[in-house]
Amino acid sequence: MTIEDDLRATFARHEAAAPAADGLPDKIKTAVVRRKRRRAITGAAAAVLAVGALLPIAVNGLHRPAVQPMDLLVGQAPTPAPADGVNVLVIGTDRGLGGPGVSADTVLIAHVAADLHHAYLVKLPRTGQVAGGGTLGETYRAGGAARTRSVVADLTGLDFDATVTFDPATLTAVTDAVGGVDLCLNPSVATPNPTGCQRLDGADVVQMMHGQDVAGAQRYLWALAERVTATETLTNPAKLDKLVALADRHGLTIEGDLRYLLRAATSIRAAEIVGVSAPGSAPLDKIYPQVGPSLYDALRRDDLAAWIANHPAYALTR
Amino acid sequence: MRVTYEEFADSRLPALLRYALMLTGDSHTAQDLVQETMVRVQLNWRRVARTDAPDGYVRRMLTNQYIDLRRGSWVRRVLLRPEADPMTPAPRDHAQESVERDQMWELLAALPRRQRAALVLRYYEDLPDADIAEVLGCAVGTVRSSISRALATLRTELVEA
Repeated sequence: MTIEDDLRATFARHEAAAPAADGLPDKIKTAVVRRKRRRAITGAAAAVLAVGALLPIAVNGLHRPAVQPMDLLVGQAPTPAPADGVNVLVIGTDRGLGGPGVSADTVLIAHVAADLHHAYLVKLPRTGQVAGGGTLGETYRAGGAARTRSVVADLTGLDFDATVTFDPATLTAVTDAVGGVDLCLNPSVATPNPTGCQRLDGADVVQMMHGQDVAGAQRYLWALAERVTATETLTNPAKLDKLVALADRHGLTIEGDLRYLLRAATSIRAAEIVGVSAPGSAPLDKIYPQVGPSLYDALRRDDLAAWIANHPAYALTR
Repeated sequence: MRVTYEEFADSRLPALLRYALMLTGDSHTAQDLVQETMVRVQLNWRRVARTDAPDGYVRRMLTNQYIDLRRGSWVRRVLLRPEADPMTPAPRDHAQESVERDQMWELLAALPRRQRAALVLRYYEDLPDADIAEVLGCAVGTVRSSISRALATLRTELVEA
């Protein structure tokens, strides 16, 4: 027998050991669905980041280097935004966390300057008292996003182009979509950390948002924003558009026209956005008691750069 | 009319599984390989169907996936698997012959992947060298030299055994 014949015979004899095709089409179908879904959710994550999950910059607890306003956008946008920039109200709820009714956990104003070169997130404390009684967070429980919006509009004199609302479930989906986030226990401290960094998944985010460790929750959100940004899915506007629609399955609600913000978001990196928040010493039950009028005025006139230069203690970056 | 993905999968899966088994030598690995390939086929079906011969295109995808072990997630699963599955027992009435043939099967596993693929394409799939060259993405001369090197290795090993 020649070696060629031997080979043919060997192959032929082992044919019988070939796996059966039964069930394989279903396995393939499942894998395809899962992969498509993974693609879609990653995009949804980008959309969430683009319109609202930039919030980590605006929450308290990040350290505050002296910040000078800087050019934030890398590229030029082809279409000009409205003359006074874009204002979006971003509301993060505590839906599903087991409290009595649903309140607003996070309320912030996302402002993109008219030149699309600067972006700001202005945090409003949820415990701040509002006109008509109660806290800002409770306005959501009383009348949903519309009520919160009208209260903030009255307070600031801003005409919001859009309102974005998201739930903890949105963050869970985003976190899972990016494969979890790496959370370091002391990210801003230079000393070696014996416990180091850990990877957390979507289930952990709910726990962290709900738990007592407020600083931990803030670090988690920051890590999430970094991770989503690192996936570079923000750079494809067409994809982004499509994915905003998908994100609402996970609790993201968008009312209004977000085109300009979305366009800006495609070129802004999380690390390049300036957050505005009251210093730690500020009373928790008041919303910008001292600087409010000048801050809101700067927002309305699209002149936050100058305002931040005059109020560096209110600027917040990583 | 163009063939649909479902029609293609229905008619071609058994042959692809056999081909994958000849390449990998292990039925689990073969199934992983076919599954991963077919997921990609389905995700890119329009492009696959546009080609003159979807069959050959898919065989090329599968072969590349097998040869290029550094890419593709199935590889990691396979490499982490400690042992190849035991083969189906040989028929008893040709015991001695079977042992020799299983020895050949084991020797195939030691060959470089491209060489094994070339052998499978010629002696199992019965493809002409020009078609083998297309599947492997190389010149016909390369196919021939790679097959003759593989055969030389097998001859040496069989004599030694």
